[in-house]
Amino acid sequence: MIKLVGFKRMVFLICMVVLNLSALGAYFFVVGPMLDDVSSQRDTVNGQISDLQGKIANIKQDMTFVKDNLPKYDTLKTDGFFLPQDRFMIKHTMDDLKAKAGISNFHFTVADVEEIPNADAASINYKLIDSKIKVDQIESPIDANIYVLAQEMAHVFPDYARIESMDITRAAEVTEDKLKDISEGKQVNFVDANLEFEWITMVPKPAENATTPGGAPAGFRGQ
Amino acid sequence: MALMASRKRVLMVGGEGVTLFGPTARGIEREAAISWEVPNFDQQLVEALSEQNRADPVLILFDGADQTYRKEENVPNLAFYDRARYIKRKLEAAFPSYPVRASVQVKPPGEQPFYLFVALPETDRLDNIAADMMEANVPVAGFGLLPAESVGLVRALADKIFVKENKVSRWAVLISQHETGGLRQVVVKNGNLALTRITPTSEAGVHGPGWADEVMREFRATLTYIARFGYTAEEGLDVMVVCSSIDKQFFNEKSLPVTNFQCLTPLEALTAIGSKGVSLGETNFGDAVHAAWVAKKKSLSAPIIVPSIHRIMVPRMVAQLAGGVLALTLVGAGFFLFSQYSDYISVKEDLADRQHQKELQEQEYAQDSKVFDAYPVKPDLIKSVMSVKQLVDRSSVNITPTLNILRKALDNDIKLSSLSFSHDASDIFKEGNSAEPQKSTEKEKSRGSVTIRFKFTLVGSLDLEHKVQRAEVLVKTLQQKFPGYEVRIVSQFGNVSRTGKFEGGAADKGAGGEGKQEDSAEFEMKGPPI
Repeated sequence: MIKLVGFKRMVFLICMVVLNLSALGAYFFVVGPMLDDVSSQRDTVNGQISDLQGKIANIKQDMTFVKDNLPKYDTLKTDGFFLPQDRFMIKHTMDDLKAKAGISNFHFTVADVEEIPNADAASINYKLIDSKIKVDQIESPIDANIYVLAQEMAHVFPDYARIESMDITRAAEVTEDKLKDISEGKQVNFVDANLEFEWITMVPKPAENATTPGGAPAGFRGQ
Repeated sequence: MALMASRKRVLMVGGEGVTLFGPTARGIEREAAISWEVPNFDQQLVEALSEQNRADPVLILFDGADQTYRKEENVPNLAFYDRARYIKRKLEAAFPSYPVRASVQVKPPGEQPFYLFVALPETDRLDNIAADMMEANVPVAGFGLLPAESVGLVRALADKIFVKENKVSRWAVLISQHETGGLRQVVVKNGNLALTRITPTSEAGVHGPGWADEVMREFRATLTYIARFGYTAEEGLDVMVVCSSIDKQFFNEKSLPVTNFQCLTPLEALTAIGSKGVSLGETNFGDAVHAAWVAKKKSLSAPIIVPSIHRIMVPRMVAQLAGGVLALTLVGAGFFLFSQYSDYISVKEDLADRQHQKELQEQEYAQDSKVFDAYPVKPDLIKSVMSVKQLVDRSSVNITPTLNILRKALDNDIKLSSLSFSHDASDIFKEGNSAEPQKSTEKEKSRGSVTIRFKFTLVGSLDLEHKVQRAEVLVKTLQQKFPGYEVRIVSQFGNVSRTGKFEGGAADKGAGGEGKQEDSAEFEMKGPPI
């Protein structure tokens, strides 16, 4: 065969084959795996960079949000949006309210704390609680003080109280006898009124087996 | 069709010896001429083949006397594959004792195509040449027969030399004395081989008046042959003789009954076919013209398979082809490998950049995380608290604006005996407990509903009808003042209605009849918080 093809030609062919195989081997066993390896590493790093960019964007967004809203949150906290609705606090608040409204006396009843189901509060392991406050037996000669009472009620409770209902009824007509009683210092009420309020705050949910924390879940009455 | 390289050497083989022609930049060059008679013929041929241009493949052009031609015209219309088998069988039948055979299809213009069968007995000389080529280690381009391959040469020379004023001659003859032995005549009719003759060199030699007379005599003999094939003077006959410029004078063209006659020197003939000769000198030999023509051809007209030559031609051709392919593959592979390695370097650098970028981003993330972790509360907590706060705010209502509007709507003749105000926000809190986000804009803006109920009397003494009219006017006033509110009379003065049951007496005014009636009316208003 060597004689047929020629020695030099055969050597050339063998060299060519060897060189081609070497090139093939260099690609399949050296350069190819190296390229695959670095490409794979680059893809991985690209993925990690992409993840990091997402995380950084999210954390910056969160930080901006927190920066923008933290003062509002702090205000809510300072204003008492997270108070546990202590009954003695209600008592003190009602005393202040009585003075502000210029009413000599009234009676109030605070019902048990109730939970208002709320998904947002539950998502952060908080609950929305509500104390219904009923005010009656208001000793006021005129209805203007009752309106003041109703208006002030919403402002004196931290942080939020809402009026649920207000009933004012003329109890008596202004007569000479009534005016005489007033001049003698007797208590005369020309109007009867009932007010119902809700005090709503947000408190952390207690642990599963924990006992009821401070505050006053039970009802309360005062005068 | 033999696969042939662009540069070829031509080894002409004749009855007296061989001549080797090789391509050079200046034209075709006669490298060697060796007679069969020399004692070391094989050694000289091997040396000649090995001496120069040994990388160029050698084409063997056989110009011996022992080649046979036959025309096969009766070929039926067959499919390509069947026709090939048919021709092969016919060829075997035509030359049963000839081991070397070939066929070529000829398509004369305006005539039926036919097959030209050629054959030659395998000779020891061809085997010797094959052995010498194997020893010289030169590539073999193929094996062809001079008359079959030079048909185009005859037509090309005739077209170039003879200016056609009237009509083109159908017949043409090229006569050339060959160094390999003999006087070769190739007769072409309509561009196809009609007849070929070779006559041994006579005692008159290869130049001079005697040689010219010999040429004329042989040509006249050829004329008698072609006359048998149907040649007539009307068809035209161009005759070309290759000879030296000295020997031109010995030819008397007027003595020949031909259309055109021309003597050409080998250099003139080479020039006419677009080639050149190197160091040919003043010679009568036309070998170079045939060699140059065949060397220029891209493929042989009738490639012949001579087993002893084919045995070395194919492996060397395959090896040459494989070498070329492998070299190209190597170049391609090298380029591919280089590009892949470049890619690798590029990707590696990119990876380093990316890793640096990743490290920077990790640092940035760590710093941000540190700051973020230091915040007392997390965004989720704030978002939820704000959402709850918004919900709670929406559930509140300021009673002052509502009561102010009501106060302005009630004139001085109206005296309230009771007033109730209630705000129902239960829907808002239900909405707050829904896991799904609220899609309705109206729903999002809902702030619950307000119900105002009041009872009143009228100052002054009005009869029932006027009181009812006053109450009805008040309804309209309230509807205007509280747009979007539903205002209705719960109980009318005297508990009457314009279409209901009614009881009364007919008397002078103030005589009674209405004094027992209810003297107050009650209204109810429902609507959104103001």
